[in-house]
Order: sequence, then C-alpha cells, then structure tokens
Amino acid sequence: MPGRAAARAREGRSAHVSEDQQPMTQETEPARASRLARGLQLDVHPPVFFTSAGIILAFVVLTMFFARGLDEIFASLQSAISFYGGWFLVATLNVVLIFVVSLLLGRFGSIRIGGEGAQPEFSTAAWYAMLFSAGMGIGLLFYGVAEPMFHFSESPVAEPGTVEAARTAMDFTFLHWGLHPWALYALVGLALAFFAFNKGLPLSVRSVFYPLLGERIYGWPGNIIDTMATVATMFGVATSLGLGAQQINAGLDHLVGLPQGAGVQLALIAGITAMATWSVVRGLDAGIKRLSQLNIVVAGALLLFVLLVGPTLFILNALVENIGYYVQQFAWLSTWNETYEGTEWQNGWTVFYWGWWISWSPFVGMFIARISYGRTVREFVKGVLFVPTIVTFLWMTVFGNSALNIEMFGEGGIAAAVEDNLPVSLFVLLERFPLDVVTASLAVLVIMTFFVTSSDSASLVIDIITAGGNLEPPKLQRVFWAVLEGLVAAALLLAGGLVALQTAAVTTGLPFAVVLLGMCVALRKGLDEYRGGQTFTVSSEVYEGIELRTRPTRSLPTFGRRKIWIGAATAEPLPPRKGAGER
Amino acid sequence: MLETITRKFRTGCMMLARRRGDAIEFLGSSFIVHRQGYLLTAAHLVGDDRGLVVVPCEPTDEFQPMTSPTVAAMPVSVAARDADRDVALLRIEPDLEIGVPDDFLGSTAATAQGASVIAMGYSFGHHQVHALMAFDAIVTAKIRSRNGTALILYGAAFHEGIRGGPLIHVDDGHVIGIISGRFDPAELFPQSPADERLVNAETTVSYAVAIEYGLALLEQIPGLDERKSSATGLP
Repeated sequence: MPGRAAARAREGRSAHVSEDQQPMTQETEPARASRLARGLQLDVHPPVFFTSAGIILAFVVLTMFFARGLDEIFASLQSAISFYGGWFLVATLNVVLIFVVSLLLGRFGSIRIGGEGAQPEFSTAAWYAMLFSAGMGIGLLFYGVAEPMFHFSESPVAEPGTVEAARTAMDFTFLHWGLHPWALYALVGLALAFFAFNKGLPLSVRSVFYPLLGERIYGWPGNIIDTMATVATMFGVATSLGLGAQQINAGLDHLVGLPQGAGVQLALIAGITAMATWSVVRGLDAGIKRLSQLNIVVAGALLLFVLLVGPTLFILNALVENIGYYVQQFAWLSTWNETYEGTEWQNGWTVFYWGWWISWSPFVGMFIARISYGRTVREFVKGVLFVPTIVTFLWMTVFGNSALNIEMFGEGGIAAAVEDNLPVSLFVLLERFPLDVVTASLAVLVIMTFFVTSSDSASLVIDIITAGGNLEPPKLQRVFWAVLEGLVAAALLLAGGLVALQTAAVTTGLPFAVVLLGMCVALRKGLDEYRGGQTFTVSSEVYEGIELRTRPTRSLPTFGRRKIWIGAATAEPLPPRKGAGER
Repeated sequence: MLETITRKFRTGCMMLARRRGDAIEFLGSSFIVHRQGYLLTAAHLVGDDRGLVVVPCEPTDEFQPMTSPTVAAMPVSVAARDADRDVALLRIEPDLEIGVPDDFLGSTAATAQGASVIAMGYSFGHHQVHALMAFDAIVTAKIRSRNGTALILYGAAFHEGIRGGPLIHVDDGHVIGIISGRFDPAELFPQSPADERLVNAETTVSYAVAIEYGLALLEQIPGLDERKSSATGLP
C-alpha cells in the first residue's frame, strides 16, 4: 500500500475522519461549503455531502412543485431506462454472482477480515440472523403474497392460471429474491470490510477503488463514487419506505377502514419518519437494535403461523420443488431478456428488482461489513450468499404457496384482489386464516417497525458516507438524512405512486451498476496484492550500511543444550494471537 | 504459489552476524516482523548485543555471485528475548524506511499437519555463501518440547545457517515459525546412561518455534504504532 494512504493507515488515523479528511478537503472542497459546515457544527465531507443533499433536495422540490402530471413522465422514464439498460442490469447481476462464487472457490477464501487472528464479534447464529434482517425487511411483506400471485395470473412465459404458471411464478419470485441480490450484498459488504479492516482505509465506497485509482480516491473520482452511493441509497430506501407506507395504509384500511390514498400515506410517512427521527435524536440506537431483533421474532412467528395454519403439506412439498426448479432453470432464467418475445414484462419486475437491490447495496453492504469482522472470505461468502437466500425462499414459499393453494385448489379470489391493489395482498391472505385481526395487526406493526429501523440505519449509513467514513458523525446530520428520506418517499408517492417508486430505484441503480462492476475488478486486485503481490521493502536511500568484509566461520559456536529441551514436560497455552483491530 | 510466496518474503530475510573489526562473523538468519525495524531470530544465536549486525539481500531473479567479499551491514540491538522459547527480537538501530506487506503474520492455530511450508534463510552463510535459500516441505508434526514450547516439525534438510529464518505457510502466505534447529529425538533423553544404546536417529527433520512467542515479544514493546481497525461495532 504505497503513498499517502499507507502513511495514514500506518499512523492509525484512517478510522478517524476529522484527521483523515484533511487532505481531501484541502485539495478539493469549495472553501465556502467548508466554512458553512464548520458554522453548523457538522462533520461532513463537503463535496459529497452538499452535492448529494443538493441533488436529493432538488428532486424533492421539483417533484412537489410539478406533482400533477409527473406520473406519466415517470412511467415513460422507467420504460426508457429499462428498455435500453435492462440487459446491462441483467448482465451485471450475473457477473457479480459469478465473481462472488469465484471468491468462494478461489485462493482468497482463507483471508480473514480484519487480518489473521481477528475474532468475530458475534456468534455465527446471531450473525446469520442479522444478515437476514439487514437485506430485505419491508419488501418481503410487500411482495411475499403479491409477487407469486401476480406472476400466476399474468405469467410472461406460461398460460396464466395453469400449473405451469404457478411453477414459473414461484421461480420468478425466487430469481428476484434469491442468489443474485445476495451476491450484490456480498460483493459490496466484502469490499467495504476488506478495504476498511484489512487495508485501514476509511469505511466508504470510494475506498474500494484504491487498487484502481490510488490516491485519486481522495479527489473528485472518489467524491463522484460516494455521491452516487449516497443518492442510490437514498432512493433505494425511499422506495421501500414508500412501499411500506402503501402497505400500512392498506392494512389499516383492512383493519379499521382507513381510506387508501396519497393523503393518508403522506401522513403515515410523516408520522413514522417523526418516530425514526425521535429515536435518532434521543440516541435510542440500542433500543432500535432490540426493536429490530424483536421484529424478526414477530415476523418469524407470523411465518410459523401461516405455515402451520395454512396448507402445511402443500407448502413443504412446494419448498422442495421450488428450490429444485430454481436450480434447474437457473441459467436460463437469470439470463432471460425477453429478446425473442419482444415484450416489456421485465421492466416492472426483474429490471426494477435489480435496480432496487443495487440501490440498496451500499446500505446493506455497509451493515454487513460492520457485523462481519473476523470472518474469513469463505465464511463470509457462504453466510451472506446462501443462508439468507434459503430463509427468503422459505418465506416466499410459505406466503406465496399458501396464496397459490387457495387460488388453485380453494375458493380463489386472491389473485383478483392483488391485481386490483398490490399493497393489500398480504392482508387478503391473512383474512383466510383464523385470528386475522391479530395477524393483520401484527403485520402492520412489523412493517411499521421495519420502516423505523430501516430509516434509522439508512440515515446512519448515508451519514457515514457523507462524512467521509466517520463512524460516529454528529446526530444533527443523521436527523437531516432521516427527514430527507421521508421527504423523498413522500414526493415519490405524491408524484406517481408505485411506478414513481420503481422508477427511482431503477434510475439510481443503473449508474451504480457500473460502480459495482468496477468494484469486482478492484476487489480482485486488492485481494491478489494482499495475498502475494506485496513484499518487504528496505530503503537504502537514508542509510547505506557499513561496508564490512566477509569470511567463512572458523569454528561453529557450540550452542549447548537449549532451554526448550530442559525441564519437565509442560503444556502452557500459546500466547494469544490478536487481530489488527485489537493490538 | 511457492514462487509468489518466496518473492514476498525474500527482502524481509536478513543475514545475522557479529562485527569483528572490519569483518563480520556469520551467525545465522533473521526476518523483519515490524515496519519500525524489528526482526525476529533464534535467541541462541544472540549472546550479547556487541557488534550485532544484519545484512539485507538483493532481491533479484538473476543469477547471483555465490559469495560477496564485502557486505553492507546495519547495526542491530536486542530489543527483547525469551531464552525459554528460543526467540529474540532485534531492532535495527539506524532509522530506515521499511515497508511490510499488509498480511504476513500467521498463527500456528491455522497450521495443520501436512500443510505446505517454505523455510528460508542463509543456509550456507557459515561457508561464505551469501545467497538466500528457500526450501519447500510439509508440516511433519506439531509437538511440544520438554519445557512445553510449541514446535512445528517440517521435513526439510537442516543447514546451520538457516537458524533464525522464517517458516512460512504457503497457502496463507503467513510466517508461522522461527527456525530453530534440526530435530533430534535424543534431545528428549539427556540423562540416558552411556551404555544404553539408542537407535540411531540421523534425521532430516527440522523444527521451528511457534511465531506466537515472537509476536508476544513484539507486544511488549511500548509505543509501537499498530494500524487501528475501523471496526467499532454496530449502528
């Protein structure tokens, strides 16, 4: 690690942004922005903070101002981006998956995050639970019933309503929620963790590009990368918050007859954002963490309830068959581009998901990086790629196949309801089971909690990136980002509902896909150098040494019996081997 | 792989010698463990500090002269030693700019029997051959010596000059031991009566003491600046 970054890392300053930032700010920042930041007692990296905030605020203001009539613009924007860029997203996701699997099989598997001797902070079971809770949240509740039902009644590859349509409906759902998104998270998480914990660079997306850009990561190329990550995270999370607001609204309508519409949803966003902000202000991080753990338990209980009360045997059969079909159709489905069908079905589904997951990847990646200290690359990839995927498959099968069972062998009616109003799908299913008031209330509660915890932790991640990698930036900044997330979600809902939300995810996901491809190259190069490319260097410029003659040894010194061979046999433990972070 | 790892470590391996007037008396091998000029070697090579020097090698893939009439030496002092474990920590006296790889220190816990290893050192330094030599082997066994020292036995021929050199785990690219001597089972029974004939054991097995003892010496040095991790816990 040559040059300034190495010097900074050596001096142990890398984790501390106020010092670390100085070279960046001296080189690139506009002096006025810096003065403003100091005046407000902020700790920000001005080019990234002000550019990102500017872009996002401009979006909110313009959207609010031209709210009427924007839905058509969003629809055509989404259609255009998907039409021209869809193939690129599909290709990127596959490249990333292949790259991540190659890390699992290749020679970098034994590299330990944090260096040799680093100890994991969490037990493996706790780590798995956290991985799962990080990745998907609200989306699982929103799409668990909706997506399979939608594909069943409007299948792009089979006669709707047939057995084949049911099978491919689950297959598409598995594609969208399976290995591909988790490969993205594994890539970003591993890259962030490796460059922060093994190379001592700031915990920021720009650091990943050190092997390619060198010191330029501290200049404008790094600023552009971090700004793209910030904007992508903002819109990715806002999309989820928008979906969450729609679904909570649908749930409350179902429970107490609250009308569904933009007004109520805006009020919900305002209310829940206020809760998230309050938790940030009051420093309830510990409480939030407990709340999110509790949330996983409640969501798990909901899953178990549907599994046991619903068509249990059908679900278990389906789980095995769905996984088998997913594996069998994997290569075809993950590269399918509608080339010969000439349709545009993927735009609202596969392409949207790929954009959405990409825009979530800095957020989830950062979270995964922080909980994965001490794991080897092999453990990391196995854990991040397979465990959450299996759990997600279980979730999707329990909810999706329960609905399919009712639709195919029962009284039906769910597909029609879903087509009519996507957010209501989960509640339509729960209605078919006993205690539906209780389960629907729990579902609303889980979505609300996911909303608060997502907003809370996403604002922290954005805050870390826009503060140049400072892990504990001032709270005021986090409040700013939490409020902005609510505003973006509200603006999107106002401007065009679901289509606007999907457009936002795809629009910010597409350019970030380029960053992800670069990330594969950079991480590969970084790991390669780490494993064998670096060597020891001794500079002879400062000191040339004393010139001395050599001669053969006349008589070998007699070493005698060394102490290791003297005394009674004992078995003292070895001195503990500490990780880089603990020394 | 063997080639990459040898190249990674060779600039870190130095000759250890004692200055006698304008000449040096070869003692053994040593290797860099910290960028602030710290090296590890075998304690039994180092009596006192007087005139201790190390000599770096020229990293090249070209054919080298077998011997050099003169060398450029750097004075070193003994920073810490643990004679019970046969490890010594040396410090290069002049202020040099030293770079070390991000990842080169290993642990014997991650080293299994049968693991592929490289032993490096100036095997024939006593014979005025100043070329750094690399030998490949596998870990023959992990044993504890009479006083409980954790030793890694590896199957490579032993030559006097390699004492103090690094034993390197090939797959991980980490140094896992400090080469100490030829393994001789007779060492276990020093009080055997002279008339009791032991089976002859001319071994070609060498041993290295676990790197952890060396790193423990490094830990004792106050004011060593270590790279800090960015890990501070969850949001």
